[in-house]
Amino acid sequence: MAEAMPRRPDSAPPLRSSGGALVAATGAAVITAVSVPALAMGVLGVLSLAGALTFGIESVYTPGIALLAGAVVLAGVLGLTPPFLLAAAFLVLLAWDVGKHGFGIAREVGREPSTLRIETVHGLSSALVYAAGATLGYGIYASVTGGRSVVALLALLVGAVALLFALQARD
Amino acid sequence: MSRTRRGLLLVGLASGLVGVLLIASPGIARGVSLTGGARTAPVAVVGVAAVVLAARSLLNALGGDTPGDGEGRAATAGAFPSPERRPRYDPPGTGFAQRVDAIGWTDRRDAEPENRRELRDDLRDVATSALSRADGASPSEVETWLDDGSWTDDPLASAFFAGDLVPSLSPSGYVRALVRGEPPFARRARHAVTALSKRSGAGDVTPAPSADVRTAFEDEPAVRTSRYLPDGEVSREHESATDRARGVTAAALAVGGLGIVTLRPGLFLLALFGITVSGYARAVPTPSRAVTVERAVSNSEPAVGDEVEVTLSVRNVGDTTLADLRLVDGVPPGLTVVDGSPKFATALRPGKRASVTYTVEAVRGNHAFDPALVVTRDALGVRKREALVDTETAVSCRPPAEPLSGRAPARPTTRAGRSRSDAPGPGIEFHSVREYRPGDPPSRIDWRRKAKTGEFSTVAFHEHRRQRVLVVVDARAEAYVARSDGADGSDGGGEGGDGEPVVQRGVAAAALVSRFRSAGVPVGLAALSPRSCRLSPGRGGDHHRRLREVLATHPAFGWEAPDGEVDASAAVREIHRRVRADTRIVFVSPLSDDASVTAARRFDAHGHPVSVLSPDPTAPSRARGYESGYASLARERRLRRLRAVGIPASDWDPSEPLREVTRDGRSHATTSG
Repeated sequence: MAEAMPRRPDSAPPLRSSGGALVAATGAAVITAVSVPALAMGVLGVLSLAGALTFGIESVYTPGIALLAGAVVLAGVLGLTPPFLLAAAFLVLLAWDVGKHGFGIAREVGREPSTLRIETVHGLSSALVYAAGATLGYGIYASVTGGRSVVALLALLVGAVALLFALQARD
Repeated sequence: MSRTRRGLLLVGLASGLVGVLLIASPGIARGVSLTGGARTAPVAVVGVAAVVLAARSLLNALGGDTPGDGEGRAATAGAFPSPERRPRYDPPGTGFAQRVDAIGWTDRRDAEPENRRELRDDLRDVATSALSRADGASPSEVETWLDDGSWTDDPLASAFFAGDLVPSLSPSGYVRALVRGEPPFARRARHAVTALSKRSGAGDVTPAPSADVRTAFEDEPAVRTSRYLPDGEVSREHESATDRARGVTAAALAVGGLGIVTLRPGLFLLALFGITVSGYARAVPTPSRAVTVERAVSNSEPAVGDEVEVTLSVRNVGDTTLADLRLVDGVPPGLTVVDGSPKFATALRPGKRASVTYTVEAVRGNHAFDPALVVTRDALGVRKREALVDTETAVSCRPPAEPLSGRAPARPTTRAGRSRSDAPGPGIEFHSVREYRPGDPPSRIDWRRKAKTGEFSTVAFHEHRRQRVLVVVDARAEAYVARSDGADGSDGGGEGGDGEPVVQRGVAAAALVSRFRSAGVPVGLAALSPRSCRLSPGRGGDHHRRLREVLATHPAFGWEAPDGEVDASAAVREIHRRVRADTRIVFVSPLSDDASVTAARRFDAHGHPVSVLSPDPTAPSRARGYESGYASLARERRLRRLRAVGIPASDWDPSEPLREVTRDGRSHATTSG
């Protein structure tokens, strides 16, 4: 502590991952700020993420993400249009993934070796996968808004729920 | 289970397909029109079902996985290995600090709080010993002081001995103790040790535990890569998948269900993230195992203190890109990394190679590298493969042949020996007279008695024999206490794992065997350790080379504390059976527990002349906690107990140069008592 630069603790994720996660989380908080409670949840979430990333406390990270996810849900219930909602969820997921990955790096690899490559590869890949999800959602949204067939909607609902449950199971 | 799942999958796919079809050509469903309850009920049912499924999925995740899955994960969920450090050696007094820490709030309800009583009895013994030595008072006087509390002006310390085992508290005192989070009895114990330490001149200690001992309470970090994977993992690799996909799916189900129930299409669409992530987690294969690891060291036989550069290179010999490869080299327990890091992380395309270089400092011993731990993950990190990759490398570091280049004793004795033994035989000093037996030399027949009585009798003298010496090093796990001084100047990484166990000082001291070489004394070596090591006393250049070799490389003197207990008495009996009864024992032990005293006394009881050389682990150079004070006091008491039964015990501060010690040690070791 006598050093001029305050040292970040060893359990804190690398700066790049932390920065990326914070930017994504801030983006999500801005998008979901449709009402005062949603804004409050978003801001609280971003603050706890910032604290968790700065001081290297992983147990604060997940609640922060949960707050942001809560902000997204609240915004959705309050009627935020699907494209924005999808974007916000995408950003929250990305923040969650990148942050968790950063914590994993801090735990397993430490500060000294360069981790730029795996951070980049992981960040880009997860952005890609979540973007695929968002695009799929947007595509369905765009096509359904025209038709208004209740049966089609019902079929999609059943399909989505059944797929979700079938796919999540591991052997 | 998997059949229902397959059915679910089919229903999902079919239903989704129908939905897409209906959207693509709305004309198909024109005949079917839903109204009223038929219109809303199915939607509500699906929504509620989604929420229920999400809850179930969450409950599953919280309630633990299937047993087969959980077993492997539990074994590897521990701390990731950090082999750049030495194993963490407990600072002196850790056991005592743990006992104080174990004093709980609940045992005050017991009729007889056993651990409180034991703690106080132990501390009382130590206090009696320390105070009677410091003030020259008789034990009964000290007992009186302890009972009336007049030995100290710290009210907490005096209350420890004078007060109750379960102090009765005023309501406000109770609240204060609750806020402090520590039972008053434990607090008093800490203060009592502090006051005792101050009073008996053992040095100033703080009532709070030192930082070192607080870290020793935490779980031991896995230091060796070879210990990381669960035991019995035959293939030395482990595959696992994270819960991340499961968490996302549960969240997606919940949000989707909420969207359906609240009729918000936007929310429902979020469920698609769940499908994407689950689908990805399903589809992605566990990363390939096709990596090779090579290790090169700049010098495989360095001198003590030399820096050795280790280069580790990893190559992707498969045909898929490894998106996330993390590698931890298996640095042997004794070596510490002084520059660079034995860990690295990279992404590797097929056929590419990456390498890392780090520097370790060589210390005495034979250091075989553990296998390198290679952790590979897919790009999103949902699947992971951990594998140990063997690369045989060893660094062998032997101290110089003659570490004690002090004065070589000019005593080239070739005689049978200087020291008087109790065995009857030829000699000078009268021992006994017995009946003549055929074959006794005529010079020892008592001719005067023959003239007087006509009977033959033989005079026996004290036979002069060569002294034989066996150096016994206490290398039990209890002897692997950290030396709590900052004198080695490693401020950077000095916390936690880079300490030196005091047993290494003992091993260095055992190198005093080379003293005996020039004195012509046969000398042997044994370790009091679960890893058995014995070398019978012998002489000559070869034997001494072997001794040095054993000291430098035998695992009993390694850098990692041995697993398992040693029954001191049984071990002593075993050693006693292997050596001659008059062999002098030089017992090198930090005296960190009572069993070491027992061992020395057992040697004594078997008839061996014993002397004890005790390296002191509690050097008074850093901020010391109460536990260190207790360790000093208890060790002091053990030394006094040994001396009280006539065993010469020399206390050695290991920061003193070795030469001084051996000069001192020699006076104990080679002069006959």
